[in-house]
Order: sequence, then C-alpha cells, then structure tokens
Amino acid sequence: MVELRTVTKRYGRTLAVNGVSLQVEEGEFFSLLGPSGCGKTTTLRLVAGFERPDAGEVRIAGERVDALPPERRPIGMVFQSYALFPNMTVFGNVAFPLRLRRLPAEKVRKRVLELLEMVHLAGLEGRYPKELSGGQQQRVALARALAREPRVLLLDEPLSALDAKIREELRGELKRLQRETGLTAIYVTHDQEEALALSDRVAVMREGRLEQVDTPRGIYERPRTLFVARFVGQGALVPGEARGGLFHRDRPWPVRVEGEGRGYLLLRPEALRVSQEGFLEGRVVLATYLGSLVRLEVEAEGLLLRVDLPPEGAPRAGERVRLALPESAPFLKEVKEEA
Amino acid sequence: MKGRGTGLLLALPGLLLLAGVVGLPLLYALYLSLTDYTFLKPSAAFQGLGRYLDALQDPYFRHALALTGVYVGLTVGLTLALGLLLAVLLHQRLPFRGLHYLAVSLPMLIAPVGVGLIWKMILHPELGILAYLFGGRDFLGDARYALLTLALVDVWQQTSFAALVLLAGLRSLPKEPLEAAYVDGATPWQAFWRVTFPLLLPVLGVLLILQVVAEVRTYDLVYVLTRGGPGTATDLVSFYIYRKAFLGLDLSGASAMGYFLLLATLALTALYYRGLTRA
Repeated sequence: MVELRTVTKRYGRTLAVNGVSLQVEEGEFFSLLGPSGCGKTTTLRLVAGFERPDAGEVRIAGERVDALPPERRPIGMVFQSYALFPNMTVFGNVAFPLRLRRLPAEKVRKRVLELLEMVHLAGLEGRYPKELSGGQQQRVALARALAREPRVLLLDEPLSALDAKIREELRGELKRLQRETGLTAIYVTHDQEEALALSDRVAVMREGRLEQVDTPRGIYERPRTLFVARFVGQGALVPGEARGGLFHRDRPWPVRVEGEGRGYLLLRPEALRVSQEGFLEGRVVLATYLGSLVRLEVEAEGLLLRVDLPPEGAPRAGERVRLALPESAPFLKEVKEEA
Repeated sequence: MKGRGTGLLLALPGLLLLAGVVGLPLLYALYLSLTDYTFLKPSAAFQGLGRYLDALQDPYFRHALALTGVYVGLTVGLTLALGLLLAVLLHQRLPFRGLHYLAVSLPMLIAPVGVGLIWKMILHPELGILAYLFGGRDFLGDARYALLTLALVDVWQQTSFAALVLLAGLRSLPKEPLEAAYVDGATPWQAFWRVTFPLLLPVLGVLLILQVVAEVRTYDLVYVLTRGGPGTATDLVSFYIYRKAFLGLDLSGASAMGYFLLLATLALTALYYRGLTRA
C-alpha cells in the first residue's frame, strides 16, 4: 500500500533520511520507532507530502506520489498536538474535509455524527476544542482524519501529549478502529511499549536509517543490532564470544547462541530465573516492587543483571542468589561504529 | 508587601516625570476647556461645559470629525489589507529574504515629516514625477484627490508596520492546523481563509485598534503636505484643533475639542488592551 524506495532527505548538511526502503502492506499497522532525531517523523512527512524527497520514490497504492501535494494523496493524519481548528466546533472540525468536497449538508451531518459515535464523542459536537480534554481532542482529530475515508492513516506520536491512563485507553481504541476500518496505518512513536502493543510490524530507525523491520516479537526477541537490543526493552548485554554454538565468557556458558566471534549476549530480565541450581552466583543489590512483579538487580561475575520475578517469595536486597540462564539467547556481533 | 513598596519606590521617579510631562499639560488643558480663555482675552472666566457644547455645534469641527472618520476607514482598511498581503508574501520561501524585509521595513524607519517631504516632492505639480506621469495633475491641490492622496501616502508608510506585525503573527501560528487542513484536502487558498486567517484574527484585531488610534491622531502629514487644504478638504481633526488653538487663538475651544479626541483615543486604547489580553 505504501512503498518507499531508497528515499533520502537532507536538511542542509543533516541527512535526516538516508536511503530508506520499506513496504507497508494493505491493512497493516506499521510503526516507525526510534529516539528523537532518528528520522521517523521526516519519513512520515515524506509519505504525507509535507516534505519532498531529495532522492528515491514514495508510492501509495502503486502510484508514485512524491511530486503530489498532501491534499492529492489518499491519506489522513493525526498530529501530536491534535492540530484542531480552534475557531470551529467539534462538528465543524470533523465536517471540514467533507465540506471541502462540497458534499450535501445532510450527508455531511450524517457522516460526522457517525464518526463521532465511532470515537465515543456523540453529543459533544457543539463544543469547541478548548472545552475538551486532551484525550477528547485527540479523538476529534482521529474522527477528522477518518472523515475523508483515507486509504492510509498517518499518526505522528498521537498519544505522547496525553497522560498515562488516557494514553493506554486511546491506544486500545486506535487498534480497534484500525481493525474495524481495515485502514493501513503508519504510526510514529519513540515509545517502544506503544509500538510493540499496537503494531503488526515495527521499523526501528537510527540516524536516518532502518536498523530493523520486523514483527514486535521479532524486534524484542531477535534484535539484529546492538542499537535495537538496547533501545527496545530492558536487558543486559554481556560481552563475550560465540564459539561452537555456545556463549563463552571466561568459561563456556550453557546458553546456545548463533554465529561465531566476539559480541554480546542479550539477557532479558524475564529470561533469567532464580534457582538453587543456577549457573551464576550473585548478590541482590536492589529489589524494586513494581506491582505485578519485582525487579531485581543482581551483581554476578562483575555484571549487573536485571531479573523480573513474581512478588511472592522474591529475594530481598543483600541476599545471595543463583541465577539460571535461558537455554538460548540472542547474540549480537560487535560492530565497530557501535562501540 | 515589601516587594510592592520597593517596586513603587523604584518607579516613583519615572512616575513623577510622567506626571509632570503628561499630567500637568492635561490638567492645564482641562482647566482651559472649562473657561473662555483665548490669546486675545487672557482673563479667563469659568464656563462649565460651555466650550464642549460649542465644539459640538461647530460645523467645522463636525466636518473635521466626519472627514477623519472617512480618512481612518480608508487608511486603516488599505493598510491592513496591503499589510496582510505583504506579510503572506514574506512568509513564503523567497530568495533574498533579508532584502525583502529591508525594503518593507524602510518606510517605517522614516519620520512622518520626512515621508511628507519626500512625497511632497514626488507629488509636486511642476517638479514631481507623479505629476509628470499623470499629465501635470496636482493631486494635493485638487480637492477631489487631496484626501485620497494624503491617505495613500499615509498607507505607504503604515503598511510596513502592519506587514511586520502580521508577519510576526503568521510566524507564531502553529503549523499543524494548516498541515491538517492540507491533508484534509484544502487548497492553499482554502487553508488560508479557513484556518490561517481565523487564527490570525486576534493579531489583526490588535493591529486594527493600534492603527485606528494612530490615524485618528494624524497631524504631521497634513501639516507638511496640505495644511488642511485645499479649502477644508484635508482638515483632519488633529490639524483643525491645532488651527483653532494657534491660528484662531481660541485655546479653550481647542482644549475642549482636544478632550473629545483624547476620550475617543482612550476608549480605543482600552479596547486595544482588552484585545491584547485576549490575543
């Protein structure tokens, strides 16, 4: 549905997007994830048409669109700052794209009420944006973006201005709406949890390039680069060597790994267990209660490892424990530029 | 409380100076407006509101007020329209942007008397380039064109200020609503009128009041270009009050008229502050 072919965008001497190629399938929820300045928003703006690529092609539904202005692309967009028109009511905002198409008033009215129903804002059509909460404003923005019946919905960090509870609630709604409408969605976020929870596939970006494009599970469980391993999820990166299918530090560890040579073993907190027969011996330096679990920080063989455990019977700070390692874990080869 | 007292103490020298420079003349003018003082009859007698009633019945004063109304409408309307147009143009990605800014700012940097003198030469019926281009027409000497010509000279100077204020307004607007409008299918024209213009209205409102206050007080251009003439064709209220006081020597009558003007300006200034707090 959306395709980028070696797209490059520069701002002066800064290379914001560096030869990015990706393909988003029809009906897919696709996230661009990365830290600030990684090029994810620029990539989205290239799809929207607010920016023109210096090189490469942008295609939507097979048609090359990189020379088309935003109003001629089959897209809807939701912004971080809601971008509602303050001089218009909720009804006026949602009706805006429909009125531009000069639809009959009755048809506009019917469609607006239908959309407001869909985003649970029925009855608020007479209010102005300033009379709504942040969550309600973002729902209006979503309804407005859907009004034009776009083929692709672009979402630029739409939840990051909201507080945690509303964010979680709206996240579920977004997913539901996308499923119900069957829209293709491209979602920009720096929040890994959001990306993993919402997406069918995630592209992790760094310095204008794609580091990895994969399913949320693939990104989390099989990161291909040290950057992805560090950026997504918690975990310790243990330096060592892969040899004969096993990880070696100063001795062989009972952890199967793929590849050969020097690199890092990724140990996620939930992959480690406290066990009498554990391979590593260490001391709990910090135990943090997080409600549904307790996160331990264990010092073992000069490493600081995080372990997530159920709260019942979890060791306390200062106790000595033995840690059982997973049977296999991701092994990431050392890359010079990432040192 | 201590902080407030210190603040007041620090502001006191300035306030005293202001009271001396602005307050005393105002009080003196108020006193004069309540008497029948003229330069020919300095032994003033108390008249109550008599001079104010005289002012309202003075057909020349009423003519000056009406003329000022037309002048203000013309200059402010044109200034805002042209200022908006220039601001929108300057808001685009233009080559040599600094040069454009300089060109637009220049008229604002010249004193109104200087502007008057420059245009007096341009409009001179024998030496001026415009008179040459228009077959020797005397724009300032012909009652049919004098007010309009005066207004256009004023607009030439005021537009630069309006353009810069509106440009600052445009620059400060969030760009997302505009981008949202484009994504929703709006053309640049539709996006401007339906999104940018309404967002710019608070700035336009403040500018409108500022311009009206400035134009109601127009004096220097009239003095340099037409002296209120030909006849009374450009006899704007500020200039008429000046003539009443220093040519007619009727200081008490001019003071009463001056107070009418002051009250009108104060009312507009109050509106301006209200607009400012809303903006």
